[in-house]
Amino acid sequence: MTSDLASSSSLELLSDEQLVSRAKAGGRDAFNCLVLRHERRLYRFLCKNTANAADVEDAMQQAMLKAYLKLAQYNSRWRFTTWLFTIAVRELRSLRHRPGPATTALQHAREPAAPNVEPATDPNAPDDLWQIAQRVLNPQHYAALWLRYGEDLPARDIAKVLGRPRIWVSVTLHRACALLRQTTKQSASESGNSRSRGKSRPNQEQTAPGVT
Amino acid sequence: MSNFLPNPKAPDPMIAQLRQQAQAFDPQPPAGLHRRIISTLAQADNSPRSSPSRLGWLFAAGTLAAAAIVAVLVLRDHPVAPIHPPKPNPAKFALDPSVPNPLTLAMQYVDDPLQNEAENLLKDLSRASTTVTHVFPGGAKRQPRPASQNSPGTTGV
Repeated sequence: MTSDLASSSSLELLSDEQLVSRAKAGGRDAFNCLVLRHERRLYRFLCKNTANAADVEDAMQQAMLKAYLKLAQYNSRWRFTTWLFTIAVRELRSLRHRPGPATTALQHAREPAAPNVEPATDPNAPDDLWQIAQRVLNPQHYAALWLRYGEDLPARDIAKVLGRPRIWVSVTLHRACALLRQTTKQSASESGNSRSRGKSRPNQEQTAPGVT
Repeated sequence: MSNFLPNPKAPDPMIAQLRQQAQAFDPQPPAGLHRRIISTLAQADNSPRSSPSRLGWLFAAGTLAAAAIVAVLVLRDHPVAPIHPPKPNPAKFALDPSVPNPLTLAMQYVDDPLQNEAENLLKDLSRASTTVTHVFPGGAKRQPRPASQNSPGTTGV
């Protein structure tokens, strides 16, 4: 028991690449450690890009299983998280093409699925930029934006995850930010107008009886 | 002046806000999910997996068999055209070791045209000289000088 604990604590000190090489050599404990290390991040990404909570869990389970089964194909040129996200995005796409009621996928995601946790920010608040982004952006553009500013992945890795050229990622991020900026400005000016109208309305109501 | 221009290195407030709100979104995966994943991995470990090398060999053998079947079908429908022997190549002939001395052959091929050319040139020159002599029938002919009455040594005095 104590030896197990000691080995698990020693595994936690290893880097992703070292854990992968150990898992390739047949150490499932090393892969379990990788699962433990990355499951939260992957879950967050899937929640942001999938509409259905059940699909989030299915995609996550399948992604981890495929990563384990195809560990021999992992190229250490990429980060392990990049590889894991790539598999997860493919899983989401295959879930979309699954027969049955279409509930999910990167292309159809409109509402984030965060089943157990109340969002930290109010989704209806006008300053929740991710909610605005989800409303105004194409789902693939939204995923690129999340991978860049939510997961801090570089453009090269985002291109790998989404299966797109790097220049597409750069252009998409630039356009998404511009659109988001424009939308927030518009909504701010509209809210300002409504406030000014709201302020002016009582005065009108007060003056209106006098006029008649 | 610099106060009016935007600083490109300054952090974008919108992007900072995006990062901040992304960090605030931190859902916990359900406890059962981790257990499910670990048990699925254990099942995958226990189930017999066909190794990739064996799959590769199977695929290669299947491809070969399919190619052989296609080749048999195609050859049965279209008979093979008769093969013509290739025409002899003069260059190969010159380099053939069965020929006694390729160098003498080459010299012969090189010298013969030169000899012919020289003979032709001589013939042309002789023809030209006869033509020139025939064009000027009388004037050009050298007239024999008439013998003078006075001998060179005598004077009329």
